[in-house]
Amino acid sequence: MKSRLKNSARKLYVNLHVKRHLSAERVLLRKALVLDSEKCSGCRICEGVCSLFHEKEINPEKSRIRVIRSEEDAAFMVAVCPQCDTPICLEVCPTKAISKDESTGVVTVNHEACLGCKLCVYVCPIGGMSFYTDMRAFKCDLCSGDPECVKNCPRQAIEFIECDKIGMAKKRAGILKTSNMMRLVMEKSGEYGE
Amino acid sequence: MGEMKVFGWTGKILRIDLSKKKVSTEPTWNYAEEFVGSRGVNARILYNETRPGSDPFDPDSRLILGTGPLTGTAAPMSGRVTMTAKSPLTSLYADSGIGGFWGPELKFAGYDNLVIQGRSDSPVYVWINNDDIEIRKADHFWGKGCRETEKIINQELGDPEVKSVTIGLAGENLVRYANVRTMLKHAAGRCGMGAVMGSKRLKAVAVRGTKSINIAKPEEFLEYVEKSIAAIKSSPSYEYWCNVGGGLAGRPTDITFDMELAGVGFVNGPAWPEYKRNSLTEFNLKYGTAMVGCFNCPVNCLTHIKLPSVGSQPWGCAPVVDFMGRIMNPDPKKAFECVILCDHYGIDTTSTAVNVFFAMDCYKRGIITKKDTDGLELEYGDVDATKELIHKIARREGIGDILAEGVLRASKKIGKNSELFAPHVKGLEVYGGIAIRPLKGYALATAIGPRGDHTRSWNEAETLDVPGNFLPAKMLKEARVHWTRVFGTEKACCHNEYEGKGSASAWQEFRIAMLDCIGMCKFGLWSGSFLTDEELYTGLCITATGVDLDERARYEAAERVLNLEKAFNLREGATRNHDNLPDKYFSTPIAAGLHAGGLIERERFEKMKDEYYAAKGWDANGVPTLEKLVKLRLQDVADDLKKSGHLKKEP
Repeated sequence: MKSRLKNSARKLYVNLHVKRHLSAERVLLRKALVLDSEKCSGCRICEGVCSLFHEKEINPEKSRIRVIRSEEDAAFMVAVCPQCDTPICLEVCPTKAISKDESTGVVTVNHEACLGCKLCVYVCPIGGMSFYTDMRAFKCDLCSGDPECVKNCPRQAIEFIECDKIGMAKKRAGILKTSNMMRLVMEKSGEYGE
Repeated sequence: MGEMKVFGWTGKILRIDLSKKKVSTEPTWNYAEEFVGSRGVNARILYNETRPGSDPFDPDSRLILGTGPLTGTAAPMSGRVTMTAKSPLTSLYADSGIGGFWGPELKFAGYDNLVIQGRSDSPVYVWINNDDIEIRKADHFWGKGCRETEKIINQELGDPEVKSVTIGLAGENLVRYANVRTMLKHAAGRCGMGAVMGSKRLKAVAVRGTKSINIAKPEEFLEYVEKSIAAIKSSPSYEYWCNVGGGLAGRPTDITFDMELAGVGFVNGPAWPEYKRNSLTEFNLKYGTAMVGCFNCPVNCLTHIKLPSVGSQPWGCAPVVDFMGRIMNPDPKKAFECVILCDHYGIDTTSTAVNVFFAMDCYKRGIITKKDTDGLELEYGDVDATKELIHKIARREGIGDILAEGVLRASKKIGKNSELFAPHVKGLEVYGGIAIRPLKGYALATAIGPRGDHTRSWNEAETLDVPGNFLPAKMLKEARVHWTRVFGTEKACCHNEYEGKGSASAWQEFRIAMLDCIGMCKFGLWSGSFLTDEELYTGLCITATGVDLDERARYEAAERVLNLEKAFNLREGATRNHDNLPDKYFSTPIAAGLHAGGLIERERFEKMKDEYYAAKGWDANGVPTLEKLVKLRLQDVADDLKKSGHLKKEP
């Protein structure tokens, strides 16, 4: 009896330890869509390929990613679910139709359980949840790891980057922009040695 | 026919009668089988429903907006629409493309084409909201500019995603070269579509659609989409065109001026010492913030300019050269100011610049004086005077009322041999962006083009041997080999050659018409050669529509369309003699510069036309033969041409 308890305890200890280790690894593998609005030209190809891939039709209203255009500013960007770590949509769903996969990080809506109450649409701070008639609430699922929008964006304005590398990627891009600007300023003032 | 699923097309053509305030639909398949879509279907409807000799401003006149089966799908460069009408400038067939995002929205609302007929008693706009169509009052923004109108409509309808095509004051005032605009820059620029719309008191067509376009083979279509986008991005000139400083407003245009291939003034010739090298590139680099373009386009050929205390909008293409070379103004900043004004009023920059320079030429020669111009002094290159004239033209005030008629009618009214300074073909003002005398093929294309210009008929291979061509040497060599193979002669790549140009024009007309009918952008085949692989177009068409729209089928439809367009013009009284150019290009050699001595020799020009007609399968008068028309299943057109005497009746 004692040895059986010991074995169970050992198993439990091993399982818990290994699982925590595995979870940490899996979390490291999570990737996310990273958007560079300066590269986006607002062309909307991403909407087309998204609805084509998922729904086999072309319809921006059935796309999980949407383009926002500001004409006079010539500023364009995309809005898509960022797969929050602690999703508000998941919390508010009355039928618990929304869940989060621990390894991929993907937040998913179970269509069968969805009432279409739209609470998730209202509470998302960036409008990441889409809604369309009989599709009810639907959202980005990262295309099972090979996002179509990333593959087809002509400007590479959408990238698919490991979450723990996003910060550095953005910092590098930001510094390059700043240093470009600084170089231009210095060139103009003649201070840049050439 | 029931609710059979249609792929690519929506299956419905929307008809709106503004006189009877009636809305109806008919199946796209009434026309699409033979004419595919967009330019093709529009042409058939226009031919069927236009009485020869009618006034383009007649309430019965048709204004048709058409998308193709690929418009609005995920195919790249699939955002454009063709507008078709009888032109108030030429009284002949005209089609004009407009980009932006309106066309796809029409598809999402469930319609392939929109046919507008009749005339409203009072200013209205049409509101297409999926299945709900309304004709709404537009009195309260009649008189407003194009972009203003769009914003008012979006506010009124409460949806920022509504897309509109609009006219400005110029269209309302029936300025014969008024255009139809959408967003900040896009326009169906040429041939006076805005005037036709204005004659119907139609201020705008607003559309919002949330339906799907069905795709026959979604997975395969997606593969072709990916391949097409990759092809565009890997085309050698992609980087060159698609960055600020490049594109249609920048370096390519600078280089065109350097090559002295851009039009400068009219009689003057393309050598222009006042032009500052790189001035356009520098202007765009300084004030350009982004490259912008149409729905689903990886190219984005327009440069968005933010010029403090002047304006924030894109520019590119014709408008740049119109207000630089054509009016002899070397300052890009001032050219941009003129473009903003034209886009606000909704008036074609090309025709406007020609009419302005025509007035300047007349003024210089004393044909008109300050008395006629309300005290304005019209010196070459004077942009302040140009802007004044633009205001006058749009408002039809003073001399503007005469110029608003276009150079053909204006020169008739002014008289005193002013016709010598009125550059037009069939009544359509000549595009100033490319010099005619150095480029023999371009000269031909301008003369024989269906709507009165080169755009559907000019193959650019002949620019390959002009010194200073901006393509890298390796690309130049490859291009020469390619075009020599296509045309069977190296002469097609030589700008001074007359031979081979007729066939080149015929070939180009097919390729452009094939593109136009499926709803893809012509720019795929022009300058940058972004998307030239017919197999990709075939793949996109077949997997999207499920119909066997292969290259042969598209070619046949294109030939049908081209013959129909020609028959329309013949029916209106156009003859071989109308396939002509202003006298000056035959009589006055270029005075100075790289192309000094350049001239179009009349006899060789006429031989080019012979070669072109033969390549089209037409007789020596440019009339489609009976065999050709029967083969194309255009028996009714053959009957019409027999009635009009163009074809001999059987004995």
